[in-house]
Amino acid sequence: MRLNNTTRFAHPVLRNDTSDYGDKEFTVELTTKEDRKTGKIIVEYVGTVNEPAIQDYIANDCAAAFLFIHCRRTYYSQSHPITLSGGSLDLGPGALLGHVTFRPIICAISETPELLSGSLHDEYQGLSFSFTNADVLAVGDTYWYDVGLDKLAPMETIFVLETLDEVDPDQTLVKLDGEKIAICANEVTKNKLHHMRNSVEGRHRLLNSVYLPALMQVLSSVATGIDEHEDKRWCQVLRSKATELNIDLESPSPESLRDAQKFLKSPLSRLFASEGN
Amino acid sequence: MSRLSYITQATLDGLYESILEHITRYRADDGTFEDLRQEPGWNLSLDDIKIDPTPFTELDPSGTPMVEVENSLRVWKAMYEMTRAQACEDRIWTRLSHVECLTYARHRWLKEGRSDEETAKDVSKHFFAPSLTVCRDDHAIARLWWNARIAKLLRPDDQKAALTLILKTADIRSNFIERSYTASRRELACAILRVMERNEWVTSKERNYRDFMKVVNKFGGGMVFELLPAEQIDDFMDECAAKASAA
Repeated sequence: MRLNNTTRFAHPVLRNDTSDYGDKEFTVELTTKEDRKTGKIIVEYVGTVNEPAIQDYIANDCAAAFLFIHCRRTYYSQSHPITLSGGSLDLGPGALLGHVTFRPIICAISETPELLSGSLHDEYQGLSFSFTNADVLAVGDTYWYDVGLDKLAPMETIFVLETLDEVDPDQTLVKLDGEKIAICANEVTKNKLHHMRNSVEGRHRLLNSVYLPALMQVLSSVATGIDEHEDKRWCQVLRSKATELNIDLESPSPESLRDAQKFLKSPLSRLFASEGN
Repeated sequence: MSRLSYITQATLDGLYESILEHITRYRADDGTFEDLRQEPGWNLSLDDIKIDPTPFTELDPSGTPMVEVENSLRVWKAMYEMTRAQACEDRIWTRLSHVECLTYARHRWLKEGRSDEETAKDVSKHFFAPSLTVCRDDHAIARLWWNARIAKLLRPDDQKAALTLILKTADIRSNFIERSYTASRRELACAILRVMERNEWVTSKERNYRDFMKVVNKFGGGMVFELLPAEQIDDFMDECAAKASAA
């Protein structure tokens, strides 16, 4: 029942991924400031809508802009009225944690006069529209922010080496059903991997030969269905770090190798550096 | 009132990796972690949050829906000052289930006649809270706090009535609380509670509630409940209940 990019309406809605209103736009720029000690979040915003019909609705108090804020971990879900000329919201300490979505929406707040727009797509020509309270008129791009310290957690904290006897010698496999990403190997191989951890160079070889491909597999799995994993601890940390690194975990055309190297801070460079190259 | 205590991440990791080693402490009636608790990693505290530990001693491990309501209220009474972000913190909950609430957690969630390995699995599920779902649904104490928090959000003046509805059956709890996008939207979630009260069909069978929620999801997509008057949302819920019961 979410209002997201796949939600469709039986009336024109101004949004950047459809051409209901031709090239008209509704955008809201957001800046988020986090006090990491208290967890207090200040969101500064300024928006524009360049469709005259919707501008008129707002000017005549038939429509208003809102920022819908949702945080799954803390059950925070609220719509905040916003003024497009700009302002700020103070989201008190402790209300948000982890992945937070901010979605700007313009809604009718009373009965509107008939929609008179010269920008409507051809498919709406000849049709008449007027709106009533809570009808969605415009949806802006979603903005994400990650609250808390997960984004600072070292990557190694989301992996665990586990014994799985049926894995062939010198092979590994990845399991994603636990709170950490399990890299599984048989007892002998696992002991070899542990031994490699004893030197800096060995750790960097491990990073390139075991963790990098494992993380690529994780990213591929997440790209095809993050919902399946999003309650896992490893996924919360990965999502936080992805937001910080500007990586889209749900991209329809994921680049797992590029992104895995970003998450692991260029493991090849680290190996070369440890070997003195 | 006392300060809210928590353990260090290293202490938590150590406990998690040593469940089998400590299995007797978890299982035996006189098992405790009191000797380990003297170590420094067990006694960090949040200065700005006070708790009243007395209600912890009143927790009833029998597990019936009405007892779950009372237990949720007890945990809320003890820890209502805690913020939602703090309530996601594994180190707080793990300390509680190993110290203040160990006896309750043991009797509520560890069954007799299970092997060490099976008991260790139960311990990892109910004595630690590493992620949202484990914290909200499985941890012995955290799940009670989240029940109460969500009930308070929806019925600030009658938390118990909201809890009684949400916890009527395990299936209703899971279909309500585990749907974060539904339960956290106050206007929507309040309307679901109201229809549960006025239309017996909705909760008379587990299957009814599931079918009802499917219809709400199907027809509620794109509706901005936050801006609609309560009466209009109630009409929508009544229509959904009628459609679900007719299907």
